[in-house]
Amino acid sequence: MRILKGTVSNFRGFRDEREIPLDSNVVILRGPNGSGKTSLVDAIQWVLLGDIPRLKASVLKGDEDYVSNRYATGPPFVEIDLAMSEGTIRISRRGLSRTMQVQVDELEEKLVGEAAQDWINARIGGGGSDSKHAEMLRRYLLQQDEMREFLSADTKERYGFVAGLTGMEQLTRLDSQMTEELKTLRKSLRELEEQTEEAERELSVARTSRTEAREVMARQRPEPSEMGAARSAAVAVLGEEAKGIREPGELLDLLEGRSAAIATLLGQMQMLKERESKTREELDGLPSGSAADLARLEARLEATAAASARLDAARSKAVGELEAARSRADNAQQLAALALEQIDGPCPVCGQDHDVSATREHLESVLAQMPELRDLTERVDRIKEESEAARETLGTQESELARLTSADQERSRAEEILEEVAALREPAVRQIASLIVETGSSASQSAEDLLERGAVRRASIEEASRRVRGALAEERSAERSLRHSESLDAQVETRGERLANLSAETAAHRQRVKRAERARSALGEMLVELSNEVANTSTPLINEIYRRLEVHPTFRTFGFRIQRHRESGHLRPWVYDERRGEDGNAMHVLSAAQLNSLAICLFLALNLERETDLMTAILDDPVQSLDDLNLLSLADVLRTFRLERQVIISTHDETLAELLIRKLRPLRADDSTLVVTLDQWAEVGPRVRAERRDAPALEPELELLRDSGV
Amino acid sequence: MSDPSVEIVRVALLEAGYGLGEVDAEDSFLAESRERVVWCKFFPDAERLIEGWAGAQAEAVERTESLSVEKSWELYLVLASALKPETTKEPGLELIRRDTSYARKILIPGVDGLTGEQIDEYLSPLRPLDTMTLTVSGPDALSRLKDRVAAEGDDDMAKVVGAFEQNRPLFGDL
Repeated sequence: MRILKGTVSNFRGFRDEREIPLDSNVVILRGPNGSGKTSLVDAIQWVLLGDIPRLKASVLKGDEDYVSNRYATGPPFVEIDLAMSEGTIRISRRGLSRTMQVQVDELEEKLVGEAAQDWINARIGGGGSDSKHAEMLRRYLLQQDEMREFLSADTKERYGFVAGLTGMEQLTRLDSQMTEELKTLRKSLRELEEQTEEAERELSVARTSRTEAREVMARQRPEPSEMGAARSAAVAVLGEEAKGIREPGELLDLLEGRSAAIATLLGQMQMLKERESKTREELDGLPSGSAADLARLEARLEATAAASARLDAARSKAVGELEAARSRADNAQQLAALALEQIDGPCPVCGQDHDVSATREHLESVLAQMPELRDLTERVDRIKEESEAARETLGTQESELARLTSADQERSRAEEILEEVAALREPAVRQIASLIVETGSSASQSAEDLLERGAVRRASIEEASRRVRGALAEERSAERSLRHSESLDAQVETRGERLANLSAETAAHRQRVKRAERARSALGEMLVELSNEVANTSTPLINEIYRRLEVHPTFRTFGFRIQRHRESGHLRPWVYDERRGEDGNAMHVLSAAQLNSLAICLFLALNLERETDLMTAILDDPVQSLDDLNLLSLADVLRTFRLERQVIISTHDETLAELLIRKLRPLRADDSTLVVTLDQWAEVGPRVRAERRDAPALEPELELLRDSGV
Repeated sequence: MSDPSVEIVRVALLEAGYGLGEVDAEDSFLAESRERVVWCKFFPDAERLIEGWAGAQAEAVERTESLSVEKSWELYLVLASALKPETTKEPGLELIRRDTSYARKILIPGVDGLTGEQIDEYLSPLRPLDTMTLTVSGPDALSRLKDRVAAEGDDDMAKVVGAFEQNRPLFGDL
């Protein structure tokens, strides 16, 4: 596949449409700076990639229009025709960003949009990612500093690039995967070791606990005679009933039950005793009095009540009279007082004068009637006093009667209580007697005696209980210790097994890690060797070109040197002076101009080496950093290169252009060299002139030696 | 100048498709292909070379005066010194190498001390670039690794590479 033609409009240096013929093995683009040579190279990139990485890197996000011509009248447009084995293919791209349209006219089929880009990527670039774009650019296009940037890149980045070009990605992936997985293995080994250490600690703790438990158990083991003595004591206080009981717990229950029963009965008896004493004390404190006394007192009470009633009636009558008299007196007094106030003047009603003397006399007589009222009042008061005295007497007599009645009732109730106490005490006495009195003893013993003996017996039972309880507690403690010791034995065994398993697992894992480390180390060394070998598969070709360009007079051999550092591959360009046995990093040995020559060698070698659909190498103005010898050498190399690839080379240097025209002249009848001149740039774009140099009619022959028989 | 060195250069040029003229008394000879004309001149040492290269060039130009214009641009000088140059002579030799007037100069200092392969390397600009033999296409990198591991006979390494191929944990089989 090679490029036949390019058509450009509204793109960078081209406003009006320009058709640039490129249909030749060698195309020399000549023209002064700014005439559109680089725009044409950019156009070829843009139509294939959809962007220009060289420019894209320098624009801000959103400012995507870095390809339009500044005087454009429409969207940017580029179209190229490619010659392929199956015929001519046309690729075109128009517009920007979202409105960008790409189209591939492949014989009878037309592909647009994504399908078209896929076709381009598959046939020309492969992929479509940024790295693939970069790879594509480096394979097909040499711009001023592209390869130089590669040489100046970080060693790791450079390794990645060459690894990509030489198919070493798998080795790189294996290398990094081994590193990651080994890290994981080491981490799990550390975890296992920690678990083993923890298991060791746990086993040690269990063993210590078991030893301590055994010591405690040895100390706590009860004397066999202790329980026997306790049992004998129990039998002594409980009698035959206790002999048949084998279980110490049952014996203890019996003892405690018996003790509790005695205590309850003793408590009941004590309570009854106290209640009887208290009741008797209350009985003794009640006033004495017979029924006759009460009858007499009731008769007196009735007489007093009758007298009191009579006095009340008299008093009511007297009070009524008194009230009537008081009312009358009040009226008279008010009238008389009024009359006396008005007596010295005319009548306030009729205005006539009174018989003052007669009125005064009358009024004074009215007022004189008042002593009668006072007598009446005194009489009422007297009756009242007598009545109250009679009532007081009546109250006293009623109180006395109530007191005597109450005492009588209290006495009856106390006597009932005493009867009740006696009734309750009887069965209690029988019960307690049955509990504390030995067989054959009399049950008719006094309560005091029973209480005393009951307390003594209860104390004996309590003592027996205490001994049985103590012996039982020791036995139970010993049992618990035994069980604890047995559980610790089981724990020691379990932890021992776990430790053994973990130790075995850790040992196996440690062995695996060692084997993995050894395999990883050996493979790592092998990968370095292999990477060097694979990376340097290109070096014979690079060296052929490197020597032809005569980049350095003594360091005449080039190679890639790959070393591992921190688990990563690092690639350095290396040069050798084999005659003197010297070598060094090309970046340090070569001058800037020599590095540029080396960059051209790398580009041409990589371009030649790889099988590609687009058999084109584009060199955009390489003259800038090459000296005369390098230029002459480059021309020599390109003369051979043209047999393998379509060479498109641009230059602003007229001397180089002339040199290239001479050096790259066609030698075969089917060959030609196309010289495209871009000049007279104006707003509409440059002028384009193409001149085809065809091969001479006759093949060049040996001119000097043809007659010498060679 | 030893005859073997001259012979090595002649054979190299012959194999590159050049026709060869006779070696004259001055240890010079002419070689010509369809594209190029090469004038080879052998000097005993670097000093003589520095002194005599201009004369050799003049002689070559004179000998090629009858060439067509195109071919006259394709004149090359091979200037060889039998002995390895002293360090003091190297700048003088570099000046000659860098002189591009009339012809491109290919210098082979100390040719008697070089192997045939080394001499061949110096003459490479005179040969067409043989991309077919120089481009090595062999098995892919992983296949090479597998071959090496197999040759090594290391079971663990083989297991790791096998696991990698099958996309399994690399150290799972160890």
